[in-house]
Amino acid sequence: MKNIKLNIIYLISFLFIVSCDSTNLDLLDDPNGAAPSDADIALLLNGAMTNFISFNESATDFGMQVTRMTQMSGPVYDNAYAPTSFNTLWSNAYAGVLTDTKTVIANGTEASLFEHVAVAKILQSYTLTTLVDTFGDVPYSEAILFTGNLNPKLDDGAEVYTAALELLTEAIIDLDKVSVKDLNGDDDIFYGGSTAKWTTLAKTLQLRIYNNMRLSSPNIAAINALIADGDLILNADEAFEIEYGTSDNDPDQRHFKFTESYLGNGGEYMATYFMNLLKNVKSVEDPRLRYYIYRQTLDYPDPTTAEGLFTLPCLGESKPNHFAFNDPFCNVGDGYWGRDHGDAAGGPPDTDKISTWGLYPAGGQYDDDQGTPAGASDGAKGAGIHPIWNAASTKFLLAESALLAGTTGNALTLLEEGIVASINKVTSFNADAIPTGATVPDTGDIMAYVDEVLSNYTAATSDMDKLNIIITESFISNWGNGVEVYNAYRRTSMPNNMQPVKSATPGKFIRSFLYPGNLVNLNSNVSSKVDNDVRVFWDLNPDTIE
Amino acid sequence: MKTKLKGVLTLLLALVVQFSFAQEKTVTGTVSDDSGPLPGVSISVKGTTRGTDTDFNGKYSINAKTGDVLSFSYLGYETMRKTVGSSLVINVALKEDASVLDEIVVTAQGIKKSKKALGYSVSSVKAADIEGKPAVDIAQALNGKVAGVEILSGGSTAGAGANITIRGYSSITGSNQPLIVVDGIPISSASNRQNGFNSANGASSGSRLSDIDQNNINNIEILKGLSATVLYGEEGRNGVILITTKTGNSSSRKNKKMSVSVTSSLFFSKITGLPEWQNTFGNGWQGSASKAFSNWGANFNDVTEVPHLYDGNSYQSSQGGGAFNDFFPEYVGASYAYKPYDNVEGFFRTGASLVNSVNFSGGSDNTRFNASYTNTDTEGITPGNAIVRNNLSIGGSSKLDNGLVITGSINYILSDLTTPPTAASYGSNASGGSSSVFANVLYTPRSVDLNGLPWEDSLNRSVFYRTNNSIQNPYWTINNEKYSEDTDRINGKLALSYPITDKINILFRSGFDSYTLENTFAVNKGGINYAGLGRYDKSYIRERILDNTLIVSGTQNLTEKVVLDFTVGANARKNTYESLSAAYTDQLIYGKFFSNNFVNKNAGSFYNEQVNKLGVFASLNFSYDNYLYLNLVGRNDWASTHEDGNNSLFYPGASVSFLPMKAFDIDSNGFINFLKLRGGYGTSARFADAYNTRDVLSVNTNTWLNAGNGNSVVNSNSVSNAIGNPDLKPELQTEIEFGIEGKFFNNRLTLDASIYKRNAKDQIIRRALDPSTGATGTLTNAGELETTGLELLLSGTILKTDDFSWESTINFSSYKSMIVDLPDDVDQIYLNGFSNQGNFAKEGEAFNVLMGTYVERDASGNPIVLDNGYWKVSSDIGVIGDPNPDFNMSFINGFKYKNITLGFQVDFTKGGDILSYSAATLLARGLTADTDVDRGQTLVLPGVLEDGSVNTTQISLTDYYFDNYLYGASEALIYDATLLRLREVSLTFDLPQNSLDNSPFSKVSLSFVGNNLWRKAFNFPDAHQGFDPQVSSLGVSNSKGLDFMAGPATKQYGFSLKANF
Repeated sequence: MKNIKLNIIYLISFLFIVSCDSTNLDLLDDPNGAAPSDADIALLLNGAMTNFISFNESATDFGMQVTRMTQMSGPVYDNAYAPTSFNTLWSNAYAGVLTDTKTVIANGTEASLFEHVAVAKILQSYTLTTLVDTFGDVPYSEAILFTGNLNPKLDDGAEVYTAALELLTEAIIDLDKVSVKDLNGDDDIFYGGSTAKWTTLAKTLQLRIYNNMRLSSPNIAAINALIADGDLILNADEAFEIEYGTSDNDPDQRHFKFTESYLGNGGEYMATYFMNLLKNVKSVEDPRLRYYIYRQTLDYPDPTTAEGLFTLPCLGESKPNHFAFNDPFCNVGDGYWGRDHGDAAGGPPDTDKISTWGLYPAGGQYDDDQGTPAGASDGAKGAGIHPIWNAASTKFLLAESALLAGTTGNALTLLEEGIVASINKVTSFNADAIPTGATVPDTGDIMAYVDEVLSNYTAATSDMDKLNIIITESFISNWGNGVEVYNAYRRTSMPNNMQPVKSATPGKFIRSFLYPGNLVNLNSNVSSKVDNDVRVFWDLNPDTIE
Repeated sequence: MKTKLKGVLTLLLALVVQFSFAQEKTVTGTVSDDSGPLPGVSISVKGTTRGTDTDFNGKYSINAKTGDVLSFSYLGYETMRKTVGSSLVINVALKEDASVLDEIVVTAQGIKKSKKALGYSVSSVKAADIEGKPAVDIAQALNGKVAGVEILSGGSTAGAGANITIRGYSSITGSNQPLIVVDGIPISSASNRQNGFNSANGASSGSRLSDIDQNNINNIEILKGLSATVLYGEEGRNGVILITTKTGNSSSRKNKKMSVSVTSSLFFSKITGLPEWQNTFGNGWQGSASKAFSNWGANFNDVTEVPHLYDGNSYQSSQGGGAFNDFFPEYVGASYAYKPYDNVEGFFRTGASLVNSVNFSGGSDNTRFNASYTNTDTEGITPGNAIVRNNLSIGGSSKLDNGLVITGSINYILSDLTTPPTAASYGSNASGGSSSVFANVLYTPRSVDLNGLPWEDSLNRSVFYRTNNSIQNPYWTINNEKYSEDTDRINGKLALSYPITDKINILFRSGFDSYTLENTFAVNKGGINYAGLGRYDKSYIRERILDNTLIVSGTQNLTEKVVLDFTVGANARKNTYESLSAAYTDQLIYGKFFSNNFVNKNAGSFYNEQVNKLGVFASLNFSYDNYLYLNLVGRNDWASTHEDGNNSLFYPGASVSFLPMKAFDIDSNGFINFLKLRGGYGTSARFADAYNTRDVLSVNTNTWLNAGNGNSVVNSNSVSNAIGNPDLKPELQTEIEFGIEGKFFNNRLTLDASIYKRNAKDQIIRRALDPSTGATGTLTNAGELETTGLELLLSGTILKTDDFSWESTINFSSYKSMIVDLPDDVDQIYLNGFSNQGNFAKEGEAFNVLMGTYVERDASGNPIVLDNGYWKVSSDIGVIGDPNPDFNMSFINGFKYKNITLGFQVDFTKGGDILSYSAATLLARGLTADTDVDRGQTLVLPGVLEDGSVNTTQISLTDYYFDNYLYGASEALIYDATLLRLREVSLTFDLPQNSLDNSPFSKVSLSFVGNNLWRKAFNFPDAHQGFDPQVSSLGVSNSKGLDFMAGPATKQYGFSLKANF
């Protein structure tokens, strides 16, 4: 009896012990991922580059909208953008580009991978200046310390700009050093591993910084030194841009404006002002118009029918009293269907009718009067580019600087070279995607356009009028890039014929955007801006712009 | 049969003849109670250590001398003493002890205790309260039955998981769902939805809790406080729902007789009251008829005909483009009657639920066997929504001659849930390009005959009334988009129990729960959403829980009056979770779902996770003279989710129960029959989820194609956005509770009240970070949540005559969960919904407070109006509502006249805000009766301009409703959700016993049950009473008070027939 009892107790205890194969507590490494120590610097740089793409995509819209390239809904500046609108941009910048580049710079320097380090510094520099341009003071000295500081303080925008300039100087030096391993050309999505082109970019971005700071700390000598050095982006193949493709899956690599606008969702409204600027302001149509804008219909709806008026309500409205005679309103002709600045009306069934992104730069459809709704298999199928800086940008910058600061070069010549560089880039873009037999602008059309601009320039009596022409041409050439046009508008108040906001009392123009929700809500050292009128450090432009 | 047995027993007792013998002899007998033999009764010979228990048949045998006194004791029964006389047979009939709370309850780790000895609150729900009821899962069936248990439905589709919280909230960002223990084995009650609530089917996803067969439930005990749940370890911190199934119930006394019971029920469900529509104005905008989303069109008196809704429309380019007129030539130039149609109600159908269940039990001397099978076949009110479930359970136990008791049970469940997509909507299609059958149906303009228009063309493409076809036709949706969850689950247990001595028992229990869940989301091409391409997503999830427990328990008389019951044990639990998923898009052949029919095959992803937890525990129970009880408990847990050094936590508890009536020997002549005062202190832990203590590297392949280099593939590494926290510690939660229980007026009135306060400090919080730190989130220990509450159960027999009785129960509960502390540098933590509109944790505010944009106000509180005449919406977010109700109350009544029972349950919830897009959308789109006003008028919003002057700008009624309710401040969407609901009405007939005498049946009963037949939300506008504010658009989660068009509410009614033979 005793034995049986012991046996049973043994049996029960034995069962418990053998059934507990689960006593292992060392299950702390995530089997679904790698450890930070497994990171590869070259792959991290790839991560930084792809994060840089996302960052640019999330940073471009705001500038385009407030400068009337694409439409700002509004209805007034005060409520045009909720702080949360900037969350993605903020996260892409800091938790994306800046974190990855910081790691590449730290680890790559130790490993003597100077080419990788240089590229990381250039991407970081551009990201920092764009953050300052968008928001003003931003975290830098206390940023990216992880648990070291969960509430980074804001640094003065000017100091961040100085740091960005210094990063470029260091990058130029690093690119000259001997690296243990070269950049991988297969992975370098910008310049295919060419250190020379990266050097050119670094110097051009320095030039851009000096020009942006033209009002706050003019440095003619530095600009002239860069001009004399001559290593600037002046040729088409040096352009700093993101190239998209047609792959719709794994990864979906189509241009972000193409996926927004060509998959049946309609996408955003083009701004009435911009379409009018291309179409009606000069005696000839801009040769880039049909590359830039694609019309899904060639006609406006009939405003005498209820359905027509419902679909495009502004056709039934008269031009607001505060609009000047030359300000466009609603109808710019030929079915160019957009929206006025600050028109916040609800969405009628117009997604298949509104004018949308064309072939350049979104990789959409060239407008050959098709007048059919945009579809996924149209045009270049999304193989567009996102322009960050190109030859025309440099030319217009030099023209502005030559005119106002007297730096080396002839403003008129530079203006002409800028326009030609821009038109050439656009008209030679993805030529295969233009329908066969389509009417495209010929040399005569292009020359007529260039001649008109140049004669206007020559006829202009004041430097401000001349500058307006340079900035307007620069503005047109920057289609797709909201960062540069927003900077130029605040720096110069130009183009000077912007369409007013639809509301007669729209409040103050957004001189810098409100801080993102995920900054003010999560960082106890930062609170919301008082209003939209907080200016970036370089914005000493005395004008009140609207 | 029973009566017969009783007679025999009485006869036997009467025949007992006493003889006197001094020698020891073997005395045998049967111990029984009113309903039959009683197994497990302790029998001891006074003054000796000899003792034994009755077996399954209530039989015992013990050696005793003539003159010895045998003591028969059993929990809940009056102890009976018998002196051994000359007879060798002593049969005893025990009486239930009416002077105490005579309930025996199952407590933690399956330990049975007399309720009077407990220093904490335990609530019980009997089988009769849940079986044969129209709810598809037990959570729904428990609604309102227990004070302190709050249940929110996940949506109006049949099979949607429910959200259960017990005593409010204890964790800010962790789960607050209770632990479910079936027959001693913790099981998974995970939701496993594969999509966010704002896409595809979030809210309608099922819960693994729904797998439990409610017809196989014997009883449910609910352990609410921490002092009750300590032994269950950290998993029990949110309360424990202990379910004993009929098949797993090892203590069934009616073992020898074979019994079979069959239950059949048929219930119908219907939409409960729609919004009160207005029938004066039709589809349009700003007063004129057009094919708008909204219903701000012309007056039906002014316009009676419009061009046909399909005339001139065009397809979306993602559908291939083209004109409707080519496919519907019959509508070209045709006209369409502009009038109100019965469009929304006609869309929904009458749902039906058929449940058939058979239960079998039987046994022999030392074995018992139980089997149960239930088939549930339910169709919801929304076309395309159904749940089919099969539950098979087998269980049994056997006592070997050597005393070893082996108990085992196994449950097999097959459950198939299908539902159309129900993504969150803010009143304009569904969020993020997904589909929602509810959103697109509910705001159908009055003049659009949803049910009479074609919904597809000859190419199977969705067609609807907007000129650009930008709304997916709801009929197309239900015919072409299907979400399903197919579950294949098996769980069960094996337990060996052995009495080492008379007083000490050893138990080993091994339980497992394993299921495979196949999620499928299948969408045909030709729709508006998902780029018109169609998609086919599949995921397989396998979760396995292995839970092993060793328990040694015993009892020891320390002195004459002090008895010690002790339990010591160890527990090991392993939880593994694996998933495998794939997402295909771009369907080739319409209507077919197989992998090669899709052009884009996104590589699937595998995920696996393992968490191990170990625990040792002990419980010491001292009882003093049957009126004072002290229980000391403690448990130490180790978890594999924290770094060494932080992975262990000890948490103790103590509770006291005191019976003053007995202690002071008070006789109140039946005025107070029983009184118990209790107090408890308990603690518990929470360990983090897996893999949060170490940094990971984000690795991505195919991140980009290098277009400048022949599209070469670019792969990447990236610094992770989450920071691993090696210092992460488990949370410690503490709770004190006090209670009083009593029976009054000859046991006619029962009172059970508790107050409690629970603090959870150093919470494991998923803290969102400002990305400029380099990361977007990390887990940290911070913050404190404090919950205080009150629960009250009052039940009584109000009237009782020979034929008639009226029993009534009131459950009342109220709690406040407050965020008393957050880290100084954290303003608020976003919890659920959207980061600019949802539930938040904010210091000094109630947990889950609703935050969103609000209308800016000047110093004296006037709303600020912008120059355009609209209110100025804040750019930041503020507190706009508190979704927690002030209290919940239910009033349950049962009237019994002879063999007829009538029952009803009324629930009342006071307060609690809800952010309702359902109500706001109907207002904003001009559909409901409250917008049936002179629409030509203009309106001036009250308020002041920023310069302080009074606003005078006139805006149209369309603009007022549309821009304020749908596109203004979130504040405008807040409603008070105070609600009175007739939860249940039931009428049951028991066939009279004499009519069954010549039938094979021993009992037959027929019930008619209606659920949710009436309700009133007092502070909702009259036109919006169709909306049930007790929904959660986020399904099973911590969220509360968010309705993103969760769908219409339903009522159920039907009957259920139960027969025993």
